[in-house]
Amino acid sequence: MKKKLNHNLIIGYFLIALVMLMAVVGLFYTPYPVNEMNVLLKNQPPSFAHLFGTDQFGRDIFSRVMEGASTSFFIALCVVLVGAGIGTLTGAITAYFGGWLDAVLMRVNDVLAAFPSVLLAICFVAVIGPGTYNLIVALGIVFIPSFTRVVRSEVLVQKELDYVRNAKLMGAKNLRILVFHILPNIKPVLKTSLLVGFQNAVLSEAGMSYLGLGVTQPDPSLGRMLSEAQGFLWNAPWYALAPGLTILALTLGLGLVTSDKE
Amino acid sequence: MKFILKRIGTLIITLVIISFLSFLAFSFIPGDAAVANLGMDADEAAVEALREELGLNRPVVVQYGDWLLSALQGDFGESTQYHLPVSELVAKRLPATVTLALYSMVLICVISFPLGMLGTNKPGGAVDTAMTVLSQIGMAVPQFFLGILLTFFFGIVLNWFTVGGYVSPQEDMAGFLSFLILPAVAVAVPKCATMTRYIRNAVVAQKKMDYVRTARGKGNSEKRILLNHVLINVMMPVVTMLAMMAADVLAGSIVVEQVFNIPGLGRLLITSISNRDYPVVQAIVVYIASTVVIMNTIADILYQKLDPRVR
Repeated sequence: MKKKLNHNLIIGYFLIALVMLMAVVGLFYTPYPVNEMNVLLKNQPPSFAHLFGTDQFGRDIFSRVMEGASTSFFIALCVVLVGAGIGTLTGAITAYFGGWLDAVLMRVNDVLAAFPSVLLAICFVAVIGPGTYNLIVALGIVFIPSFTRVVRSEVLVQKELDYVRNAKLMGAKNLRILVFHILPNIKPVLKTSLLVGFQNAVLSEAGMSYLGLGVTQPDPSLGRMLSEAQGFLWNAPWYALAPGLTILALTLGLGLVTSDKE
Repeated sequence: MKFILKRIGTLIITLVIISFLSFLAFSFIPGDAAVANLGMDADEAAVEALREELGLNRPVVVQYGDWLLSALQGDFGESTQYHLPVSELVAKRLPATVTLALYSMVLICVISFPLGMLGTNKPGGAVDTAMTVLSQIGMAVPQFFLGILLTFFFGIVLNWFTVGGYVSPQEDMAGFLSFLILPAVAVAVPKCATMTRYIRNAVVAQKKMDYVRTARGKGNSEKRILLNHVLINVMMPVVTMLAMMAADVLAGSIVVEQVFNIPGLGRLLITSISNRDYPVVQAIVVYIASTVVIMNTIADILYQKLDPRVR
């Protein structure tokens, strides 16, 4: 049983590393300029010159996937940072201090959680408009409630434990107890929800960009590449496969690593 | 009874907050209906007059009260892009989305239960490992990518259906129902994977309980233990999980409708956003969110009715 789980972990890390390598290299170097068009090379199948073929404007799909992967990584990372940062803060404070603040914030949280996350993100983007940074804000807000809930329930348990009482008796300030005593103890749980959150963020970003509510032209995005590729399924099916499989590799890798942590 | 009343009370409060927030959000957008109707460079006085006429210069809370009162009577205003009542537009698009969501829920139930119980006789065995891998892949695949793959294989390679060839239920009921099968699969697969995994873990956990050992000691077969003893105990959390999944299924249909070109609520929502048709956006958002909240409340009440221990 133990050995099989390790298999999952190795494959998971390998998949994440693969996409991450593409994303990081894509920041500095792509085989072709991402927006270079070439009418003579429209919808070419994969070859040595163009590993994943070319799109309807003759742009190199491999280069665009590389840059799309870094966009996805960047957005997902920011979204998780915003969501986890604010979520942890509100979760910890409401649980630790309780009172009316807890009641009010939890009500707000409940209402936010009532919306399906995609719908809520769509609402925010509808109000503030599409674009990379707006998408980060929208998805970031959408991701807050799940982190708040996880952290809140953990802190509620931890704050009744003896070590917290001890620390209080020794005169430690509330902030010190939260940051140096409770936080290290909820780290394992937080780590898992960070991984789950990252996977969800990648999927949401791709979905929003697919719907045309995320990353705007001309920045390459894996989700938007898929929606463009859909029009060329007849004569260039590889166009859809490249960004789709890249997203799948990343989310599957994250899923495998998370399932091992559980 | 007291519990039900309390739950319904919370439901009403949540619904009011949801509708108010949706209303508030869209009233922040710069450029109101008066400007939109008359154009950007219209006479300031004319715009002000139209605002007066449309009631846009009143406080937001008053406007919200007005909107809520007419919404409760089924009047959500008029679409600015089609110049039709919003309720009519929504009613026309509703059947496709509801059918798609119901289809997906049925698929989730039909597929996850048998698959979730498969391999639980030997946790960690070959079948169980294979199911774990499958469900991991299923959970990771984006619904729209799956939809594109299905379109490619069944629509282009095998040519089993016409790509984008949606038919309305009024035209051809059978065609409508068969066209929605693949979209439903695309919506359902990631949820099936999650559900399968959930059921599997619950069954494995239950099988370690004393009552299973007792049942075994009495000479029951493994199959009988699974179906008659374990399944009943697994059922409760699974029903809650299913109700929570309804929200995801609805959200999934928004995206998948786009892939298969189905004129449902999701497509209407996306086109209305790009055309800045906010009355329609507002109505759809409130509609979907309310459906989700009502479903969750029903699940809560059912849960409490089914399992006396929760009371």
